[in-house]
Formats: sequence, structure tokens, C-alpha cells
Amino acid sequence: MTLETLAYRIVTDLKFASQLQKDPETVIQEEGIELSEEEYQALLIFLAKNHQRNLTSLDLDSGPLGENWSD
Amino acid sequence: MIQSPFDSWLFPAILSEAENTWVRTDLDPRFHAALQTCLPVLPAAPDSWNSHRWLSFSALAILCCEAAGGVSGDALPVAAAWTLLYLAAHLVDSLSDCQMETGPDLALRSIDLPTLSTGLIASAEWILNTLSDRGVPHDIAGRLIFEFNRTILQMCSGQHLDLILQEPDLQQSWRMAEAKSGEFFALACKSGAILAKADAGQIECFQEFGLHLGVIVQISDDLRDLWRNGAEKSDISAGKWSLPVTYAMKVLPKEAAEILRNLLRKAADSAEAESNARKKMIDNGAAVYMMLAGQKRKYLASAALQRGCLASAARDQLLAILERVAKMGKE
Repeated sequence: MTLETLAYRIVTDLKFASQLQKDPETVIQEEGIELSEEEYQALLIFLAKNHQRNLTSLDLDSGPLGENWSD
Repeated sequence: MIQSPFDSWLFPAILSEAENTWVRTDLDPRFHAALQTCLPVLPAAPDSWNSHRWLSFSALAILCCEAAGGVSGDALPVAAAWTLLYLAAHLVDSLSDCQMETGPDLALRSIDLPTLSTGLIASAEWILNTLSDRGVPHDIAGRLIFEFNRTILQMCSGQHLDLILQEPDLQQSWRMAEAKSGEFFALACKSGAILAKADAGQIECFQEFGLHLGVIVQISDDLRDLWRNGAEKSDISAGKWSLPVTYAMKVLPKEAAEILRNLLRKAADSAEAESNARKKMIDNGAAVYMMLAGQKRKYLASAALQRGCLASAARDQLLAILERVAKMGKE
């Protein structure tokens, strides 16, 4: 699964996004998602920064996510 | 906002390097004055974060030189040359995108952008050609001139593709981001390491750090553009296929992609179409993708820098710049 496919699935599959936020390691293993080390680290940081955010219902009013992508 | 110790003296020092070049030629005072307007526009910009980042970028060659074990002051002419090229590229980009800035010198700069950008490029070349006279060994000076010219050509290539590829795919978009922004930042960082007489492996690490940093700058710009209010002109309203657009076009089903394509076509004339295009991209993960991609680049940049040099104040400053770029929009 590429990074773009992963991003698309995060915002379009509520169950997947929820499980990923709870236990990313297990979801990645079970789904057979192959990520490079830097992609995996990027995902973990992204999930940690957005752990209280509903990733499937982002809208224009939720503000620039840019402020959340740095650790 | 993180304050840089370079802020107080770096910009005047760069200005002085440029002035030393301009006073040695028989420039018409009006053209000289026009060139001068290209420099002060940066710190005078209304967005304080924006002005700060330009100054930080100007310091990259100096910081990399010091982090690689060299004397930071040796890199000032190279930092000045790089900054003048940065300004020239900014002017060319503004012209290409037809996105004129606002400001008191708008009339002058909008009329004379091609001439001014050519003048800035020539000034940068002039500074580089004085390196040997200023004590830089001939082989290093020659290599730096070669690296600058090679990078300028690569950037031109990237800019050309950006203009002629109306609907690039995602892979092409990444290649353009690397050619236009990544390579240019790689040049600044690599140049510092070359001046420090670092070994090939070390130079490669600084180059890699700069490459990823430059791509993050592009990601941040595109991310901000994605969330920008319709009051400002943006890549989306201009119908430009930036990274979020090419992402969305790749992941969306055919029918939804066609709807987005039509919205983008109408975005220049319709605020509603522009807003709907933004929403469609965000709803389908464009912001999430950009953040993941940005974080990945940040990880790679940090790793490259830590491979390339030992801990030092200069390395901390470089990591702080990386952090600041990654936090774009927050300050």
C-alpha cells in the first residue's frame, strides 16, 4: 500500500482509521501494509498528533492541519 | 517563534555583498535602486513568519559550513549568492504564476521582473567569481560555480515542466518539487559542506538534508494553499495542479476525479467552484497525505544531518530551521 493509498483509506474508511489510531502496529501487520521505516515513523507521528481528531470528517472549518504535522 | 542569532547581522551582510558587486559596475542609478528594492522586500513582508524563514534559509550555507567543521564566515559570499538566486527564482516564479505581490514597489517590480531577476542572477555569479580572489582554493571555487550553474539549470528544467505539464501525475509532481525546491536547498547545504572541505560522504549527507528540507518547503506551501481562504489568489484558483491536486487525481475513482477536474477548471472564475474543489481534496485525504509525506521527509532530513555531522550549535540551528519549516502556518 502506497502512502497515497494509505492517506485515502484513513479518511474514507472510518473503521480502518479508528483501528489505526488505537493500534497502528497490529493494523499494519494484519492488513499487510508495507511501509518503509520513514513512512512508518511518519504515520506514528501523524497519528499521535491527531489522536483526538476524527480523521474521516475533516472539513474546511477544522483549520490548517499543517500545524499538526510536526513533532 | 525561534529566534536565530543570524537575524541581526546576516541580512545586512548579504546586502553588503550585493552592494559590493553593484558599485563595481557602471549601473544606472535607477537600475541600482530597482535591484535594491528586491532585497528589502523580504523583512518588510507583512507575514513575520515568512520574513523569518527567508532569513533562516539564507543562513543554511553558513550553518552547514560550520556544522561540517568549517569556519562559518567563509561561507558568507556563497550564502549571499544563494540568497540572490532565491530572490531571482521568487521573481521568476511570481511572473510565471502571474501572482504579483502587493507593496509600494509593485509597479516597478511588476514591469521589470525579468530584468531584475536576470540582474540578481548575474550578481550571484559575480560574487561566486570572486571566491578565488578571497582565499577560497581554486578547485573548491570551481566546484561551487559548477554546482550553482548545474542547479540553476535543473531548477529551470523543473520550472519549465511546471509550466508545460498542465496535468502532471503525482510522480511528476514530486520530481518537479525536487527539481525546483529540493535541489536548490540541497545546493545551499552542500555548498557549506564543500567550503568546509568535508569528505564526499559528509557532503552527500548535507545535500540530502537540503533536498528534503527544500521539498518540505514545497509541501508546506502547498498545504497552506490547500487551506487558504478564497480571499487570496492561490494555485487552486489559478487551476494549477499542485501536489494535493495530483494526489487527489490519483486516488479518486474516475467519476469523482472528473468532477474535481471540472471544479478546478471553473475555479478561476467561481469562488464556489474553488471552495468545492478544496473540500473535495481535503475530504479525500489530500491534507493527510501531504502531512504524511512531509513528516517522512522531515525524518529523512533529520537522519541525514545526524549522519553527516556531530552534535554542535550549528547542527542544532539547522534542526531548528527544519522544525520551523515543518510548523508552517503555526506562527
